Amino acid sequence: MKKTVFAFFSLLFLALVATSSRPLEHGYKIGDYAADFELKNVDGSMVSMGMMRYSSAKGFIIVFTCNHCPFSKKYEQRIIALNKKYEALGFPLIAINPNDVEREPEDSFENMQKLAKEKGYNFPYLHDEPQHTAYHFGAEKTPHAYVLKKEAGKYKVCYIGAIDDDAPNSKEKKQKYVENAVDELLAGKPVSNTVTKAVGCGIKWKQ
Amino acid sequence: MRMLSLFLYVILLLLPVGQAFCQQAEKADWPRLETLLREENDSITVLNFWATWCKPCVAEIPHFEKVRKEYQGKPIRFIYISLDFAEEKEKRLDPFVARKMPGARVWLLTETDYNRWISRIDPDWSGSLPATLLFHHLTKKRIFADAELSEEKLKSYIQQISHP
Repeated sequence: MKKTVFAFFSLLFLALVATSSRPLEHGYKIGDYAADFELKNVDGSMVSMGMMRYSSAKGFIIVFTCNHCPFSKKYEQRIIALNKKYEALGFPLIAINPNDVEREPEDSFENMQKLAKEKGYNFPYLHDEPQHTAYHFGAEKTPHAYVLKKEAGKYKVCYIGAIDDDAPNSKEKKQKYVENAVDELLAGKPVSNTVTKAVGCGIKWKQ
Repeated sequence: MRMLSLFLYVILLLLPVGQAFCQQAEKADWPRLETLLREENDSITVLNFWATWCKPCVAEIPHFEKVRKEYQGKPIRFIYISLDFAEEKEKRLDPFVARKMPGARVWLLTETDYNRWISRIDPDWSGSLPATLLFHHLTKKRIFADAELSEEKLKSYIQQISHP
């Protein structure tokens, strides 16, 4: 009996050491299915990918973004244009602000409402107050984009990374990563460039 | 009149100081940074990737500046690589450099295609800021950290890298 108890505790100890020595794996990889979310939109309603409004969607463009970050600001007009172009084609855009309001007061829900109104956001701008959605997606920055394809009611992750290769919006010819990914999916092809690195402001996680 | 000459005198005294603090960031493209990574140099190189809009970066700069000053005259060079937007150089970056890090070497990286170079700095780097790369050709060592560093941590990295 003593031996089994000892063995049990040594195993427990080993398991603890083994898990604590490296960070927990989280965040979707290409080919994973993303879990749906239900988050508060700037208009006060709750939004999720599975709602009626999106019943005919072929997929989604999810962009983690926020108010305060200079990179997010640079992309405001470009995400509006993305939704304008792709919502009609079956890939609506959903923006999600994952930042902790205490660490970044500029990203409060009230300020999100103001920004959405000011810029005329034509898509939901959701507040990921518990930060679970950003955590599950493995989002690190703002902006951080994901392209999901709907497959039998599930959401397959097909692209993760930057929106394009030109954050400052200084080049005429851009590599439009998100657009290319959606175009390929619409054409029934696999996405050729599935992962890029996104530079932006680190998400302000709760401390 | 006496007041005026006194005033002029004070202005004259201040001028050279003003100039010494008139520091600006230098624009640099990716080939230039790549050359720096490759070239044989007997100094330890500390590259700090940062931006004025990145709060943890701004928070760690005083630590880096303190260590940089401490190691002055030793074979170690500090280069701050700024990822600020080029159009905000005069308005935002240069004033920050003049105020918070006078005398530091600051390069404004003009390469906006991050996917071209981020993996070349370190394959595991996601592009999050701040990030610091230390390398030394003589010991063939390199250390990469994509986290905010304390003064002690930075010094321990310099120690680690200077011994073969």
